[in-house]
Amino acid sequence: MLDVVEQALVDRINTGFTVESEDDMTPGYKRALIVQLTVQGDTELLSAPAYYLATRDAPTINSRIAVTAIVHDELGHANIAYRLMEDLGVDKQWLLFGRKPYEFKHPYGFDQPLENWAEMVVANGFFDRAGITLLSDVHEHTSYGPLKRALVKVDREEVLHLRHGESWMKRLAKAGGAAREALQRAVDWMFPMTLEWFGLPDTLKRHSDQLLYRLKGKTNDELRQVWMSATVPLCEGIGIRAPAHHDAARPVYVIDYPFPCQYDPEAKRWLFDQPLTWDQVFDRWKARGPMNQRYVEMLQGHADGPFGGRRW
Amino acid sequence: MVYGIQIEGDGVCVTMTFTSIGCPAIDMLCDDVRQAVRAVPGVRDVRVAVVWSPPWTKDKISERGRQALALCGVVA
Repeated sequence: MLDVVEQALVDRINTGFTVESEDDMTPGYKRALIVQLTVQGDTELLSAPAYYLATRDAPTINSRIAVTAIVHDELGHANIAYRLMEDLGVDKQWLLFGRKPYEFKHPYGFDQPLENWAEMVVANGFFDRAGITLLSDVHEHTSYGPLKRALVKVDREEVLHLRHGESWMKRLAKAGGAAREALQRAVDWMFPMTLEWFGLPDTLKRHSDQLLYRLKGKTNDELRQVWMSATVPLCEGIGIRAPAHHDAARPVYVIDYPFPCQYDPEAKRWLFDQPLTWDQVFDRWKARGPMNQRYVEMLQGHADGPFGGRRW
Repeated sequence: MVYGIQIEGDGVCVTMTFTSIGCPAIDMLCDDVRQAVRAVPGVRDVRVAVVWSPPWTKDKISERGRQALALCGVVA
C-alpha cells in the first residue's frame, strides 16, 4: 500500500504529468529513477571496454575505426545518464571511480569477453538491439522529462550501432566457411545471454516501481518479445540457428530451451540440461563474469589493480 | 556531402565526401546512396566516388541539417 504522497504522484503521472525536477518527486520516485539511471549508465559504460578490446580483431582499419566510434558513443551515453543523476545529487566521480567492479549494475553479458570479430558484431546486433528495445520504451513512456529529451540522441546513435552489427552479421553469414561458423558460435552463446538480460518473467514479477511511476512502459516479457521479434527473423534470414521460434497460433515467440538455465563462462556454453531458478540466476549475476574486474579497471585505471592499472 | 552527379547513358556516378576519413558510417552511406539511385527509373549502373577535396567543414551543414542536429541536442 502506497502512502498518500506517493499515491498522489502516481495519480498525477497517470493523467499525463511530466516530472521536470527534484521538486516534483517523491522519495519513492527518486529512488526508482536513480536505480534506472544507474543500470542505464553502467550498461553503456561497461560496453565501452568490452567493445574496445574487440576492435583489435577488426578485419580492416575502417571497421576498427567504426567500432572505436561506437565506443565513443557509448561513453557519451553513460555520461548522459550520470549527468542526469548529478541533478539528483549523485556524485559522478563516485559513480565512475568510487565503486568496486562488482558494484556496477550492468548486465552479466557485459562481464564476458568478446574474443573475435563475429562476437563483436553480434554484440552490436544483439546487445545494442536490447539497448534500443529498452531505451526506446523508456523514451516513449518515461514520466521524467529530462530523460525523455536526452534519449533522442542516444536512440539515434544506437540505431547506427545496430545497423553496423546486422550488416556485418549478414556479411559473415554470406562469406561462409570459418566466418560463418564463428558467427554461429557467437549467436549460440549471445542469444540466450541477451534473453536473460531482460530479467524476471512477468509471472514472477507483477509490479515494479519503474512501471508504477511510468519510468518505462513495457514489462520484461513484453520487451523480450520485442527483442525476439527483430532478432529471430534476422537469424532465420541469414540461415543462422537461434534457440527460439515464432508460434503463429498464439502468436508469440517461444524460447526453445529451459529458460533460465546454467551458463559455463569459460566454455561460453549454455547448459540446456541444467535449468535454474531465477534466484540461482541472480547468484550467478552477483558473482559477476570473467571480465568484470578487468573492464572496470580499464575505466578506473587503478595502478594497484590485478592488471597493473592498464587502461586501454 | 554530395559534391556532384554525373550521368552517362544509364550510368550514374555520385561524387561525395565525408566528415572525416575515419567516419564510421562511410560504408552505410555509400550503400544508401547506391540503393536510392538504383531505384530511379532508367538507371542501370551506380558508382559512388569518395573524394576528400575540397575538405568538409562544419560550414557545409545546411540549415535543415542544423535543425535536425539541434533536435538531438547537438549544436553544430
